[in-house]
Amino acid sequence: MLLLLVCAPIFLFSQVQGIVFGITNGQKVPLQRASVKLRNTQLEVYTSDEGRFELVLPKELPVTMVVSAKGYESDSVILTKEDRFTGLEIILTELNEMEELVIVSQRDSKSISRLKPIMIETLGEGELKKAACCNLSESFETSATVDVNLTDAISGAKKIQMLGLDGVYTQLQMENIPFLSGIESSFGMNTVPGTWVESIQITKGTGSVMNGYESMAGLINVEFKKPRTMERLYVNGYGSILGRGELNLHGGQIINDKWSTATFLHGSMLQTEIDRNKDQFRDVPLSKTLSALNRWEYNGKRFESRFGVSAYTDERSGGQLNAVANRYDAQTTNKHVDVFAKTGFLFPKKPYQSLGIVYQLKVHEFVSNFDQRTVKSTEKRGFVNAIYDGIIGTTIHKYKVGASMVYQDLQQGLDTIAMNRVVTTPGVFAEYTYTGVRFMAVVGVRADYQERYGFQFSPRIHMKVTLDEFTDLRLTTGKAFRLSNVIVDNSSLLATSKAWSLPSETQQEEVWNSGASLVRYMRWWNRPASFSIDYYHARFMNQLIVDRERSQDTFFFDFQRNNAFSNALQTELSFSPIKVLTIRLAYKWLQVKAEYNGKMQQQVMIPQHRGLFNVAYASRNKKWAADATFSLFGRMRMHDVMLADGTHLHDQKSGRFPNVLAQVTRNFKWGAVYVGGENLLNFTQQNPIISAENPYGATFDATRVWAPIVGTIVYAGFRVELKRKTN
Amino acid sequence: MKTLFLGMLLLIGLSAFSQKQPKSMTVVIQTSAECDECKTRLEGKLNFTKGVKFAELDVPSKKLTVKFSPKAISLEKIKQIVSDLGYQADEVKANPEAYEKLPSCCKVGGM
Repeated sequence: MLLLLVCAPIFLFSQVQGIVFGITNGQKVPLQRASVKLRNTQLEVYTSDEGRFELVLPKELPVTMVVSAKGYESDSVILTKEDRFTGLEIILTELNEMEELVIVSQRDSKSISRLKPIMIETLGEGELKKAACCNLSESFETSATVDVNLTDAISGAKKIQMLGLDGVYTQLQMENIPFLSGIESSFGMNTVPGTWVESIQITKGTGSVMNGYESMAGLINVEFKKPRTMERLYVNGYGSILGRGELNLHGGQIINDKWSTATFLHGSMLQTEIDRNKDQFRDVPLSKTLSALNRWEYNGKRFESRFGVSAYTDERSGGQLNAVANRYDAQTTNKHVDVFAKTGFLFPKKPYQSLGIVYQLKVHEFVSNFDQRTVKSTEKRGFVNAIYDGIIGTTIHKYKVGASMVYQDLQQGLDTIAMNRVVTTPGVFAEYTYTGVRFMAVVGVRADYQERYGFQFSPRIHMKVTLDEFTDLRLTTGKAFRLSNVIVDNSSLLATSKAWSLPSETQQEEVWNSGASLVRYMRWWNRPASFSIDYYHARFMNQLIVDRERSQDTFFFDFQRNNAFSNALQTELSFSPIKVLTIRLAYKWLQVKAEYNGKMQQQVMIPQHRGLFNVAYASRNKKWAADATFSLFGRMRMHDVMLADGTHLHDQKSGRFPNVLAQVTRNFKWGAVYVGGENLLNFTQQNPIISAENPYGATFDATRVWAPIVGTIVYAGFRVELKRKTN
Repeated sequence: MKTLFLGMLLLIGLSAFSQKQPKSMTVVIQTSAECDECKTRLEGKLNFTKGVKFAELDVPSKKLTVKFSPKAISLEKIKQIVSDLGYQADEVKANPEAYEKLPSCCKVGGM
C-alpha cells in the first residue's frame, strides 16, 4: 500500500507529498481531485491533475490521513514521524457494492453498470420520459430486453416477457420490496405511472439469492422517486385521441434533517367506446384507475427506515359495444392495499456491517369475468426478509446471510373449481462476494421449505471478468422456482369458448437459468458507444404449459417435467454519430419450446426475431427532445382454430409487423409539453377475434392476438415541475 | 486548450472594440462546478436565459461552453449569473451567499 516515491524538498515544517492512484479495471490511473484529509483537523487538500498532493503535518503525530475520491473505496493511512518529508503512493480501489443504489446519470438514460458482477440494465428517468404515455408496462416499449404483449383481444391486459418467458416468471420489486407479485402480475403494472419512477433496473437470469426464490427469467427492480431529491410538486396531465385521460401528481416534503415524506397520486380514465375495426367489440376496454402511494423516510446515524402504504383500484370493461343486444361482457376489477417497511441498522464503528430488514403485508382482490365464466381470487401475503452484511478481513471478501419468510393465503376459483392454498415458505440464504482487480464472483445459495414440497435448494453463481479496459464478460447460472397460480396467471385465456382442463394439483415450477454476456465500451467520434451481446438458456425442470393445440375445443394445462426450455440471444449497439443524436440498434432471437400436441414446438405468439431501432435527439440547450423507436416483430406460430364456417386454420404463422413510436418534447423552465404517437404505421391485426359475430358460439376465440388491435394513437401532455431548490 | 483560450480572449477583445458585433459567440468559461447536480443547475439556468443559445458543462474539466448572442446578453452578465448560482466563472468569484446554499456535492471537493 505504501511505497517510497520521492524525497520531498526539505523545509522547516514537516510535510508530506504523494500521489493518489485509482485502480479501474486493472489499470492504475492518477486520480485528480481526490480529497486528502487529516482526521480531527481542519486540514484538507485536493490532488492535482496528476494526482499529486502536498500536506503540512501538525505537530502532534501520529495522525490519520483519510484519502477519498468519488466512486472509490476510501482509504486511511496513519502518518508517524517516520513519514515526515517522505512521498506516499496511495492506491484506491473502485467501489464494488453490488446493491449500491444506482445513480441515474442524466446523460445516459439507459446504461449498464460496469461495477456489478451481475449484468444490470438501468432505464433512467430520461428513458422513461421518451414514452410519456406510459405506465410501467408501456415504459418498456423503447427497450429490447422486455417485451410487452396483449394477452387477449378483450380484457386489455398487457403482459411483459423477458427471455421470451411470460411475465409471471419475472420477479418484480420496488426498492427490493416485493411488488406486483402473485395474482397482481397481469394487471398491476397498469396502476403504476411512469412519472413516479426514478429508475428501473433489469437483471436477466436469477440474480442474487437475497432477492428471493422467484426470479426465474429475471428480476426487475423499480426505484420510485425519493422524498429528499424529488420535485416538491409535480403535475402531469395526458390525453389521447382515444379519449384516455390521465393525471399524475406527486410531491416530496422534507420535515427535518431526519424525516421526509412523499405522496404520489394517479388517476386515469377511458370512457369512450372505440371500435375502429368494426367487429362490434371494444378495441380498448373502458377503464378507470386510481392509485396512491405515501412513503416516509427516516435517516438516523445508526438506524434508517423507509415505510409506506400503497393502494389502488383498477376497473376494466371490455367486450361488445353497448349498442349490441345481448352483449358479451368482460369485466376485470383489481383492488389492492399494501404496507411496506424497510429498516437498516448501521454500526458506526464497523462501516462494512449492516443489518437490513424488509417487511410487507398485502391484500389483493381480483375478479374477472368473460361473459359467464368468472375468476375470483383474493390473496393475503406477508413477507419478511432480513439480511446481514459483513466482510471477512477486508472488503475483498464480503458476505451476506439472511432469512426470509413468505406467507400466502390464496383463494382462487374459476366457476365452480377452487384452487385455494395457504403456504408458508421459510427460507435461509448466504452469499459470498469476492472482489478482485479483474475478477469478481458472487456465490450464493438459498434453501426454502414448503410443507407440501419439502426443501428447495437454489444455488446461484455470478462472475464478472474484466477482459480489458473496455470489455466485461459476465457469466451466470442459477436455480429459481415458484408456486404456480394456475388460474389467475392465465385468466386471459378465458377469452374463448374453449374449455379448460386444469391439473389436479398445483406444483412448483423450477428452472435452471444460465447465461453469458459481453459488453464492450468504445469511443466513436470521441463520444461513448457500446456494444453488448448476451445469451441465456433457461431449462425448466417443471413448468406449467398451456397446450392450445391438442384439441379443437379444450385448452390443456399440464405440468411438463424436464421438457420445456428457452434460448434467448440479444445484441445491442448504441452510439452517437453527432453530439445531439443517440442511436440504438438491437436484435433479439428467441426460441421458447415445450411440448404442444405431442411435439416439441415453439410457444405460440412468440416472435423468433425481433429488431429495434431507436433514435433520440436532444438539442444542445435541452429545450427540445425528440425520440423515435421502430420495432419489427418476426412471424409467430399461432394455434389452430376452426372458423364458424367450418374452415380449419392449421399450422398458421402470423405476419411480420412493425411498430413505430415517436414523441417530441419541448422543455420549459417550469416543466415540459409533449406530443407523441404510438403505432404510427397504423398496423393492425385483421380479425383479432375469431367468430366475433357470435361470441356465444363454439368457435369464438379472442386469444389469438399477435399485433396491435387499435391503430395509430396520438397523444399530448404536459408536466409542471416545482423543483427543490436547496440541497 | 491554451490557444483556444487565447483565441477566445482575442475574440472577446475584438468584439469589444469593433462596432459590428457578431451574431453569436461561443466562449468557454472555467467554473468551480463539481458534479452532475451542478451541471443541472448551471445548464438549467443558462439555457433558459434570454440571449443564450446553449450552455453545456463538462463536469470533469469544469468547463462551461456557452453560445450566446452578444446583442442580447454580455459575457460579463453570463459570468455574473454563474457567480450568482454559487460558482466561480473565470476571474469572477462565486457569490458567497449562493455558494453557502449549494448542496454538499457542489461545494469545492464535494462528495
